[in-house]
Amino acid sequence: MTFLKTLTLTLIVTICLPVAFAADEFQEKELTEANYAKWRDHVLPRNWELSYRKIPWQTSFWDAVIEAQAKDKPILLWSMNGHPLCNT
Amino acid sequence: MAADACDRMQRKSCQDEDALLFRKFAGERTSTKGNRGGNQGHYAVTPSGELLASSSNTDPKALAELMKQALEKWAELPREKRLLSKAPDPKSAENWRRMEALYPEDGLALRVVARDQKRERWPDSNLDYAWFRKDEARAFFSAEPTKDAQHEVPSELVRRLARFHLIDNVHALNYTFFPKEAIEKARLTSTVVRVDGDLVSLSFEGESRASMVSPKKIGYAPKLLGRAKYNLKDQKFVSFELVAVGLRWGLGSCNQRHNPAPAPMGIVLTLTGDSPAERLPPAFISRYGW
Repeated sequence: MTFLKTLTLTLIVTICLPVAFAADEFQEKELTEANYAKWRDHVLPRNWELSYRKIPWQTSFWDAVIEAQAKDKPILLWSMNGHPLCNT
Repeated sequence: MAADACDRMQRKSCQDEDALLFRKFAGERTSTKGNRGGNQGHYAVTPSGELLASSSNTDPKALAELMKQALEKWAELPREKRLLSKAPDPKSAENWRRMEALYPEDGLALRVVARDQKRERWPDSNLDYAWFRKDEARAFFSAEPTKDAQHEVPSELVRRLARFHLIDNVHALNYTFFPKEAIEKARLTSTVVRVDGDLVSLSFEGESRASMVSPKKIGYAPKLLGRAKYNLKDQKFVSFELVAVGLRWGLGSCNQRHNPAPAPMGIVLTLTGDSPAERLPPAFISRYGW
């Protein structure tokens, strides 16, 4: 399941990103009431950008160790400098 | 499946139980293709810390192969090698997860997303969180919220935003936050737009400017606009948006910014969701002074 989600995200990123980049280009450098929604929507992530967050990650390695020990299962750990689900 | 930061765990001086386990396999690669250095990556391990497979290759095919290899190896391992001899103690984590306990259950938790105006290369946005305690959240608008009532959000809260949240982490985490003296301007004014029973509708307007020259010559000077709704009876925000747009300049620390030239960057703060990931602490929570 994890792999399928990762693969789906990768395909979406590969196919959609160039299109999304082109569609998002705009020139308004100042924030005004008139372009507020445009800037907000430009910055906020699209649903496909958040696909990886739909996976029910344990947010700490230790929680995963506790669960895996209890269930006698292996752990898949994604580890980064900065938390992969937050500021990485 | 777990996602976690390796910064603390990889430090050799760290004696936390999760770190001791992590360092049994950190940095090892069973796949030889497409790896980066360091300890970042994907690891398939047993609860006892036995490495099954690992890679830092971001290709999904490599990840699929990693999992396949890991399951084959897992099937061959006897139970006593797979598991720890003693069940791991959940309370151990209290030593290194103190910041998570500061989550403002009755306050305001915001997701902070940053993105350049010009989207140049992936990843082109990042997110962090910003927390406000209950009394701090209530200080975002007038004590007597009547229509058109204006209110200056306390300076210390706006400055905290400017120092730790209005920063350039678009391409990667930024270890550089703005020191107090870097904040040249930090103002946010709220206006009560409407009061419908217990529901107070607000607008926000403001600006900030942070600039420093050492150890990094960086800065960000955004204009701020926003809107929110606060339920007086429940004493919490039911919606919240704050948009910051302005020029950023300079290179941060580890943030993968390669062009120091001034360019527009936007940052948007909205209410967090309710998944466990949305309760992760802000990157600079330890600097809040809580």
